[in-house]
Amino acid sequence: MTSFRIDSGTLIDRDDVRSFTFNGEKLAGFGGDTVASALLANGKQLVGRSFKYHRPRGILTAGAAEPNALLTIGRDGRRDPNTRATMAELFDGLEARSQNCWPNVNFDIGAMNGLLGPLLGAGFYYKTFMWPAAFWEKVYEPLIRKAAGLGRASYDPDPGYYEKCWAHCDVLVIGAGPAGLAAALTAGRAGARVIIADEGAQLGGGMLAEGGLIGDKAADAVLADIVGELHALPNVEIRKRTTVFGAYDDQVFAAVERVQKHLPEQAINPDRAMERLWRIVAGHVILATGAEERPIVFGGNDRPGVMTAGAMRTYLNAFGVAPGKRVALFANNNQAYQTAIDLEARGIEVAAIIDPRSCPDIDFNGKARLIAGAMVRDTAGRRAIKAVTVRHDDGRDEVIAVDALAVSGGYSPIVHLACHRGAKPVWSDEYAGFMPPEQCDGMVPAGAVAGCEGVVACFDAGAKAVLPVLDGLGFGAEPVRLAGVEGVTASAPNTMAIWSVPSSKGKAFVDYQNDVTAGDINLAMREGYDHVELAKRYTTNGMATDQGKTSNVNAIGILAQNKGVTPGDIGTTTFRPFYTPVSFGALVGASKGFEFQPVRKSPLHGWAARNGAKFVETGLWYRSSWFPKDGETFWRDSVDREVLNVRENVGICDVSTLGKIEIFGADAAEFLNRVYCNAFLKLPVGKARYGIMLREDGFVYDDGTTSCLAENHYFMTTTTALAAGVLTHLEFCAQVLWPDLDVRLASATDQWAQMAVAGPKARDVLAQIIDDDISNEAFPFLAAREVSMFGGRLRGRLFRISFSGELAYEIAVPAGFGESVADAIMVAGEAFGIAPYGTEALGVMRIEKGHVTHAEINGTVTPADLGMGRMVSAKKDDFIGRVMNLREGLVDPMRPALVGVKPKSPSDKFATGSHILKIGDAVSLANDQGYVTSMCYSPSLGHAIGLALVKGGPERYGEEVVIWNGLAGASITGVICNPAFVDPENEKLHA
Amino acid sequence: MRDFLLNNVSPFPAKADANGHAAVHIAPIATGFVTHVLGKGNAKADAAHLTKLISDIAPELGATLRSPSPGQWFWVGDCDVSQGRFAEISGQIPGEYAISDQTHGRVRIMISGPQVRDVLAKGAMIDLADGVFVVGASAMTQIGHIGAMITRTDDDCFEIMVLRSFAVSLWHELHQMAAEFNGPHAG
Repeated sequence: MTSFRIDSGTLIDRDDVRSFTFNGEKLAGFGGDTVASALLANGKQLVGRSFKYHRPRGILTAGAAEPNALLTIGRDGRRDPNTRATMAELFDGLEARSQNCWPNVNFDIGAMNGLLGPLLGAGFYYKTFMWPAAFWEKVYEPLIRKAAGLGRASYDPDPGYYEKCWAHCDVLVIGAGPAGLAAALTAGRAGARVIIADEGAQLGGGMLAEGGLIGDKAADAVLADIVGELHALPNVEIRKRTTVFGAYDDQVFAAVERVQKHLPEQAINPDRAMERLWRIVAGHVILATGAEERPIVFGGNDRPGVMTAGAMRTYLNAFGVAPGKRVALFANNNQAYQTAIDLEARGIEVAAIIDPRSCPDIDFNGKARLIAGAMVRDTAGRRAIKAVTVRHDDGRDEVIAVDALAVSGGYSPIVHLACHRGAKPVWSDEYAGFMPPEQCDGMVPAGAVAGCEGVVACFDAGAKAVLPVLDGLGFGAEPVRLAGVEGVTASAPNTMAIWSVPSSKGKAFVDYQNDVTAGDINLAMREGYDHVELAKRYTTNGMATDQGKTSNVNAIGILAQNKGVTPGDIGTTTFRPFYTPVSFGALVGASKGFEFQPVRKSPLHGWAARNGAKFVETGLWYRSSWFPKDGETFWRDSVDREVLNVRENVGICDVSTLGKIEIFGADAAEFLNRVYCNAFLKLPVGKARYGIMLREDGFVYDDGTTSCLAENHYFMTTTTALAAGVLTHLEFCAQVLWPDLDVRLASATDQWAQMAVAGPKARDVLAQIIDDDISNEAFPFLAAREVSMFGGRLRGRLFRISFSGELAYEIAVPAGFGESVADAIMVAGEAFGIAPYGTEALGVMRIEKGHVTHAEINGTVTPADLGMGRMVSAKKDDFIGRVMNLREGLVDPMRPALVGVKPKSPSDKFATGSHILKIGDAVSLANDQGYVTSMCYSPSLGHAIGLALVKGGPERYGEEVVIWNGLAGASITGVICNPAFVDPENEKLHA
Repeated sequence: MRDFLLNNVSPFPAKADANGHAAVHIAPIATGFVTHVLGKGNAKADAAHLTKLISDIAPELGATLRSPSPGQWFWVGDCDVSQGRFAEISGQIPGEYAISDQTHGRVRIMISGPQVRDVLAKGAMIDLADGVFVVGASAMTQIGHIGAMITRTDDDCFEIMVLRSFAVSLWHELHQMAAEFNGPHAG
């Protein structure tokens, strides 16, 4: 180990040596280290380059707010860019690389940007790349993005598994520092269901940085006792490495748990999530998120070796890492002095404490020289700090040689979650920070987030804050206390707000991650962008991965200072989830690849697969689209054969995916009469009827058949696409529009395996498995009733309906028997030339017959447009869509109406979506006559055919037109015709 | 009439023993019936009345009811019911209730084991804690993107009822959710 590793560190295990690489260099750390602590222990103060100026940057913090030390960790699919070194746990074999530098972090060509610094201030891009406008997207933006930046994502798929979970609790404690631990323990002992979540690898928060005693016991022993008791409580769920990143309505909180991100490749369980996204439903919330220590804005404040005082203390006490050999502290508050005390206790020289307060009210008995009323105005050093220049209160400058500088500009309560639902934080002059909103909407702030200072005071505050919550839940509770601690008194923060050092020399950074300086904020103000939201966008202060955790309040302070108002008058920008970055993996969870969405399988899926079906995704359904036979290499070979076979012999098709709804009740007929535009009141038992549903606006919503199976019992079929939508619509009608009607609805889509058996020999085939008489006389077109099958061994529902235009039936049997029945039909039909057909052939046959689907029912058509205007009842008192269907525009005779189209020359082809023009007309919207809604090759006719919606509709049968395909640049001459290309007299249906 | 073979095919994979170490046991419920009972609109939902009614009409089937929504129930049981018997029952049910046989449309999966709640928390948003979701409780909810009804049948045992068409997807999903407890790396 190097000389930076000292004999302390409560978090590290010195027996667990872990090797890792940083920019290819082999280094070693200990178990318990973060990458940041391990780098510091190895004397690596320079870890990256800044976003814009490529300035050398070190490690500023020891936690989630880190703006500088963003590394790419891992390789290939497990490569994570922009990983905060302060949060990444060290594991054996870890590979870390600096970002935004070339050829390396020590010598970076991009640092020349620093020479252009005077030109690259805020708004530079907006002002410079104004013209030519076309260059922005193709030239400027790509170049800027390439030059500036963070890490790059991997193009390799992440082999890790991610998942999402739900959790529920009485009390969610966010943050496991002293306040959070006390709240969780108090609630846990009382018997409440508690979840305590903390982003760190260990519980403790600020307690982890305590090096001394709490009461009469070592701080780490006190912490171990508390954590041990929490683990022992069965009603307390502990979530380490879990960042609660969003607060949503109804007390739902989102959190991401880094389950295995801290493990080496060989230790990863592939069945376990790498990260887990939690949705936590909490009865009550204790917000113990702590406070973020602010840097101070002064010249050269970004030099590697400058870090916040609290971070320095954490590295010292928790990780056993000395920040340097001769350290200075620049702080405007009392709390930061503890860092100097701890440094001296570890034998590290504290060269000076520079305090801008002229008479700091602090009882400091250390060796360090206290320079009151002074500020650091500059630092020196190339890749690491070598000295600070101190401006004394008498205007004198003094250079002090140091190799590390701790800074503390006060504390900003971490109020993000309290503000995610829209509340604004409240400025406090007393605390020199924005405090949680007065109404935290179910959250109780406790500890440092509420302004407490010190472990003991925060612990006491946490224990007391949860008491009213527990009381409200009916739990009697006593606040937990720290042993050996008597009489807790809250100390005054005593922070002197200081937003930027006026005598700063050189660049004084406000936002480290975006290279925003105090000068940039001032420039934004001068140019009129002085509103906090505008200043953010003009300067980029507070953007990117850290979202301004260390910069926002300082920027607000500078704005306030310059305008002569308080930070409270300026206000904050809007707090939105996420608190810290969340990986796409966690957001996606398991929904990727095959698991992207659920699959719905028809009860005949296995039968179709055995018969060689090619499947197509239709929504979530997998439907059999065609059934290739040996020698058929092109899909249409199969489809053409299937169509011709149905037209000449018989075919069987799986139509199980169509929506099926059982309708019961004494008023079911009246109900149907109101939801369909055609008459249903007198549909007799044993009959099916085609029906059209309109929307309230008079346009067609869906179509299908409904059969009356018994008195007060109907069976409706819908299109596959609108199965759920129609049921929802019907439920709305039943529950909201007409609650007085006795009607009850049950989805039965999955109960039935349904097969269409179509073709001139369909009856011959079905007669072999159906016991009942299904002759044309006994079972005519549109008959529908339950039938006995297989000698009484099964009962099914038989419907004589036809989508293909052939003599056809649909037979429905309980889903589990679907495959057996389909097999039986295939065997029974063998002698009649039966063959399965898929949705492609189904589509061809319906176009040949002129039947519509949602290609035509596209939300813009009326029944009259589809040639079914006479179906709309003129006798019914009312039905959905009746009034609006009579609107002037909807009864205009020149509305586009359904027609057939075919090429004048049979060898010509055309495409769906082609527009119809009169012969000789110029191509223009004004001349547009309509468009082709469906098209196919008709094997029955031997040429392409289509359906179209054309102005004037059937009046134009026989007219030659142009079928214009602008996309393909192809036009042909076509002829408008009757859409029923096959059997227009419906003789086959009634055969 | 030819003697055709009629098999009631399960929607679940033929090899339904992919439970690995089986800390969480997942199994299809192969037999039984599911009947959707729909109360008359506007009538007060009365499970007690329905329970007595079906107990009188079909005592051999038990009277286990699960309510997916107000005034509606799923009447379930573990014994098979023929179509003929269902028709008889249907004929005896008074008009204030309508029944729809859903035995083939909704299938059931049993999932159990000490870590069953950890598994279900990966998909279900409802609180399944011991004191909240008591034995016998049921709720219509979702597992991931799949609508499902969850019923607690014993201490660490839950039944999931799902539309048949989603059965394979849910089966796969449940095994994936349980893999960290059941897979070769479990423990």
